[in-house]
Amino acid sequence: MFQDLNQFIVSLIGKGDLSDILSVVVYSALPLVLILLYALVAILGEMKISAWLQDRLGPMRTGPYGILQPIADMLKLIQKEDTTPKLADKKLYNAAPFIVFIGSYMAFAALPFAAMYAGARINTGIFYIVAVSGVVVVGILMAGWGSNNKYALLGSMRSVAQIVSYEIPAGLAILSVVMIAGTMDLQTISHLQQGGLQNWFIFGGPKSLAGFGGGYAWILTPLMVVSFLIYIVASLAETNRVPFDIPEAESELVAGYHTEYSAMKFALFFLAEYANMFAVSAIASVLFLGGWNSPIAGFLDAPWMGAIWFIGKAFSFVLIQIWIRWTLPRLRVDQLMHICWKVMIPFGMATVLLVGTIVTFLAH
Amino acid sequence: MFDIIFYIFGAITVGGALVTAFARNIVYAAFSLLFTFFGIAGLYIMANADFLAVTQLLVYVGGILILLIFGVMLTSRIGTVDIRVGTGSRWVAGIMALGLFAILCAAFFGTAATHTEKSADGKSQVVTSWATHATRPWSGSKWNQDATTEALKPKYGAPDEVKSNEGSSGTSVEIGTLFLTDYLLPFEVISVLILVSLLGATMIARKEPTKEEEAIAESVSV
Repeated sequence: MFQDLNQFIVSLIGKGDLSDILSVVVYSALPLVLILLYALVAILGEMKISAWLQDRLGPMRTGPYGILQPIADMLKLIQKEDTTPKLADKKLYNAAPFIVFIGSYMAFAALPFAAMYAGARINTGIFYIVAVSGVVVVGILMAGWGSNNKYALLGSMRSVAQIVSYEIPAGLAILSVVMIAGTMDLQTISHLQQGGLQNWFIFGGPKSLAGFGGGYAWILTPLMVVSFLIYIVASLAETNRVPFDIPEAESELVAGYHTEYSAMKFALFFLAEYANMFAVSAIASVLFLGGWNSPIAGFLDAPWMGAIWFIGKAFSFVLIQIWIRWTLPRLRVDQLMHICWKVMIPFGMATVLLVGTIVTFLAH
Repeated sequence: MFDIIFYIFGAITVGGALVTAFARNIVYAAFSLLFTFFGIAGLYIMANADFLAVTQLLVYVGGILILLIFGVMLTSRIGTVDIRVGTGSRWVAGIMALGLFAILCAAFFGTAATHTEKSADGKSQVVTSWATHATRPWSGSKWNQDATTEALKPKYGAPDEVKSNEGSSGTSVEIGTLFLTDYLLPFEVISVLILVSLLGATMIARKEPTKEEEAIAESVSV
C-alpha cells in the first residue's frame, strides 16, 4: 500500500522534477474533478429538496425522476451567448469570475481529504484558508464595480460587508479548536481525532493522548458545541446562503453582484458558490467532527475510506444548508448586524476565554 | 523548479506593482495591488516565512485592500480623476529612486548568496542562504517525505496511516512563543494603539442621531 498519491507517482516514474510536477498537477486537478461532480449532485439536490419542501415534484422530465436536469442545465449554460454590457469596465468584468473561483479553489489546497490525501500539508492550514477567502472578496468587488450596474455594485458591497464581518465569529470559533489542538495544520488536527467519536473536538478532543487532559477533556463539550454552532451560522453568512442572502435579495437587487453575467462566466460564479459551500462544510467537519475519521474506532477506517467519511460529512452539511435555505426567511440588514456583533461575537469571545483557561489547566 | 516558481511569483509582484504605479485609472491601481500582495506572500513562503505570508494575505488582501477599494468606490466620479498630478519634482523623485535602488543593490550584493552547511552524514555542502532545501516550510510534506522523520508515529498508533511533517513545524510556534514572552509589552502596546485608533475613527465618523432618528431606530429594533 502506498502512503499517498505522491509515492504512487514516484514509484511509477522515479523521483525527480518530473514526479514533482506531475504530483502538483494531479493534486491540483483532483479537487476540481470532485467539485464539478459534487456541483451536479448539489444542484439536483437543491432543486429536488426545495420541491419536496414545498410539496412539489421538482424537475421530472429529463431522465428518470429528472436526475439528468443538472446536465441539461450545464449544456444550456455552455451554449448561451457570452454577453458583456456595453458600458462595463471590460478588464475587471472579465477577470472577476476567475478571481472569485480561484479564491474559492485555493482553500481546497489545504483540505485533508483522507489520511493519505491532502493537497498540501501547510503548517498554517486553517489560517491559510481563512486568509485566502480575502481573494474571493476582492473578486466580488471587482464583479460589482466592473459590471457598471447599480444592483451589482450594491450587491457586491453588501456581500463584502457581510463576509468581512462574519469572518470574526468564524475566526473565534476556529480559534477554540486551534487552542485545544495546539496546531493549525488540518491534517494533524484530523490525526488527533482518531479513535472514535469521543475524540472529536466537538466532544473536547482526544481523551487518550498525553497533554490533552484525558477524561477531563469532556468538560469542554458544551463550549465546543457553542463554537460549532457559531461556526455553522457564520459559514452560512460567508457563503451568502439563506437566511444571510441579503446580497442576492431578488426583490431588491435582481441577482446581486453577478446580475450582468451570462453563460460560462455566470457558471463560474455559480461553481465558486457551490465550491465555497463544500469548503466551509468540509472545514466544519475537520475541525469539529473528526474529518476523515470513522465515528467508531475500527469501523470502516481503512486509509482510503477516509475520503468517503470526509466527503460524506461535508455533504451532510451541504444538505443542511440546502434545507435551511428553503425553510427560513431572509434576515433584515439590522438583524444581520445584530446577530453578528451583539450575539455571536460576545459568545465567541466568551468561549475562547473559557476554552483557553480550561486548556491551560488541563495541559499540566 | 524552485527557481522557476520564484521567478513566477517575482513577475506577479513586479507586474502588479507596475500597474499600480502607472495606471491612469485609480480603480485598476487598487485592484492590481491584489496581485502584488499575492506575489509577495508567495515570496515570503519561499523565504521560509510561512506564518508571515499567510498573515500578509489576511491583513493586506482581506483587510487593507478591501478598505482601499471601498474608499476608491465611495469617492464620487472617481473614474474621471487624473491621479498623475504635479511634474515639478520629477528630477528630485528620480534621484531619490536611484539612490534607494543603489542602497538596495548594495544590500543585495553584500549578502552572501551561499553558505556551507553540514548535512546529516557529516559532509559539508554549499547551499543557498535564504532557502535551503531542508528548511523550506513545506519540505516536510509530500515533496520530500523520505527526508523528514515521522515524529508523530509513536504518538498516534497505526503507523502505516500516519504521515507527518512535524519535522518542520514552521515559524508560527516560535512567533507565538516570542509574542507572549520576550515581546509581550510591545505586542500589547500595539494592540492598545490599534484599539485607540479604531475608537477614534469611529468617533470622528459617527454622526450624532437627532431625536427623530432615535425614535425611528427604536421603533425598528429587533
